[in-house]
Order: sequence, then structure tokens, then C-alpha cells
Amino acid sequence: MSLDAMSCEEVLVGLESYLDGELDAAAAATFQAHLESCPACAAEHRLAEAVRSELRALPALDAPSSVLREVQHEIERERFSKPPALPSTGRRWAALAAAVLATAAIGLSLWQQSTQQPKIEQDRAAAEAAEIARATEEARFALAYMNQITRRASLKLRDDILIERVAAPTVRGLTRALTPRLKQDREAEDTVDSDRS
Amino acid sequence: MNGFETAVDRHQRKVYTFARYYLGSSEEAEDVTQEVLIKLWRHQSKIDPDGQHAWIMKVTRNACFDRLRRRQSAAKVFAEDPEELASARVPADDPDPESRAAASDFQRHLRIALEQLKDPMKSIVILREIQGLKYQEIAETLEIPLNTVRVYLHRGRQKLREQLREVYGHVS
Repeated sequence: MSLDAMSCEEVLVGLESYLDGELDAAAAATFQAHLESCPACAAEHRLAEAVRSELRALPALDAPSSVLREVQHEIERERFSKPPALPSTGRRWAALAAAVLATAAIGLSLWQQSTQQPKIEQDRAAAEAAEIARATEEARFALAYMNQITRRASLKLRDDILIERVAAPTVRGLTRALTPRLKQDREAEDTVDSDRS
Repeated sequence: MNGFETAVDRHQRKVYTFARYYLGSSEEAEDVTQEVLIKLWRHQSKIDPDGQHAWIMKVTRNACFDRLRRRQSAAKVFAEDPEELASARVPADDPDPESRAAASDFQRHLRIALEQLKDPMKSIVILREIQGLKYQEIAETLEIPLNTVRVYLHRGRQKLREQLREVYGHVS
């Protein structure tokens, strides 16, 4: 990049580096001098600054709580569906007792959830209902689009069939039927004209 | 709070934020977030705690990329007019609360332009400009050289500028 004076092309190429403070002092000063004397490049600089500042102003977003609940449910499902590993002989009875106790605890927890914590089930049902609603909407859209394609295809097909199987044969038939009569009429007109002349 | 719950608490926002701006759809961002957090649970014992952040952002970005590719493939298969399909799917008045709350028209157009940016420019712009990651962190996440990060960032912002110039001309 020339430090004496910069062309507009050089400015456009180096604009993002200039914005990020990556040019050395001398290059930055030359850059700045060009911006002060060139309205087009100055406008481009303003646009670049606006893009950068608006990007940085975009907010960070939290995942909805329904997503985090679904993650928890999925983890619980996976956790409880895995069978425990077999322990060594010496600890087998203790492990068996622990498994029985764990199963009882899970059963109790599930019973408690079903009788005393209907809200968890309600939340799960609400999440499932939302999922079903989303899937239904997707299916509806797909069906509407297929319907549109089919309608267009069927209209074109109808037109093709009408032209090929109805209109064209009709025209050909009428032409064949009327040609002798048209010929006669023409001959009669010619006779009348020649009589008049 | 157990170890995994702590990890979820720490990472859910950055995962969802990235996915939301990358995919432009809250629905798809939610799916990706769920997928990534479950993967984190499955693999947490194998992940170096110091590298957990880079791991999770890499997985998030890959999940978003795959989802976008599937979306584009489906558009090619089903659509006579891909723009018609896209406009039918994303209504002009997006009911998403974040969209409604967008401070300005400029910002709304910027978000649309960002969604249309190609990777890796898109990923780098989001990670750097929206999520504030350092160049080194981005380089580790995407497994690309540091200078490449800088080049793609500048190119990405330039592309966004070109898109917005078409809409707004220059900013006064």
C-alpha cells in the first residue's frame, strides 16, 4: 500500500483493516487523509462502520426453556434405558441390592411425578403438542405445494389432451366434411362472376 | 447443580445464538441446540475441560452447516421456483420476537444479508462480531490458520456491505 497517496481502489481493499486498527500509524494517517478528501470513499467508510457496529449490537440469545427441558428428558430416557455393568464376584450381592434399591427409587420417583407433579407431564405434553403442531404445519405446507404442482401439471395435461384429442380432430373432421361443399360454393361464385362480366 | 447442568448453563446461550443467526430460524436453532447439548452430555467425559468451548462451537457450527445443506437439497428437489418455496417458508412479517424487536430496518436487512453469506465467512462474522471471540479462539474452533480468519472476516464484512449498498446506497 503506497503511503504517499492512496487510490480509491487501495482504500476499498484496505478499508476493513483500517476499521480494525490493523494499519500502522503512517498507513492509517494516509488512509485518513484520503477519506477526508474523497466523498465516495468516505461514504463507503461510513457504510462499513455501520455494518460493523450494527453486527456488534446484535444481541446474544438464550435458548427457550422448552429446549432445555427436552434435553433433560432425553438424558433421563438414555440414562434409564442403559443396563448396569456386571460387577466382580465379591461385590455382586451389594451391586444387586443397589440395583433393586435404585429401581425402587426410580419407581417411587415416577409414581410421585405422576401423582404429585402433574406439571412435569403437562410441560412434556405441551412440548409434544408444540412439536406435533410444527410437524403438522410442515406437512400442510408440503401438501399445499404438491397440490399446486399437481394442479399446474393437471391443467397443462388437460389442455394438451383437449388440443390433441378434441380440438385438432374436430378441426380436421370439419375440414374434410366441408371441403367439397366449400369447393362447390366457390365454383358457383366463379360462375356467377363470369356471367356478370 | 451437577457438572452437566453447569455446562449447559454456560454453553446454551452461545450455542443458540450462533445457530439462530446462522440459520435464520428459531425453530431450527432450537433443534440444533438440543442436538448439541445432548452430544455434549454423551461425550463430556472424553472432552478436555480447557477445550470444551472450542469443541462445542465446532459441533454447533457443523450441525448448522449440515442442516443448511439439507434445507438447500430439499429446495432443489421440491421447488420449481426455489424463491417461491423460500418465501412461503419464511413469511415477510416474521412473527419471531427477536425480529420484531430489531432496532432498525438496517439491522433487519443486515440479518438477512448475514443469513445469505456463505461459510466460512458467515461462521467467522458471527463468532467475531456477534459473539466477540478472539481471532485465536476462532482459529481453534474452525481449525484454520489465524490469518485466514482475518481474511475471511474482512471478506465477509465486505460482502455484507455490498448487499446493504444495493438496498441503502451509502450511509449519510
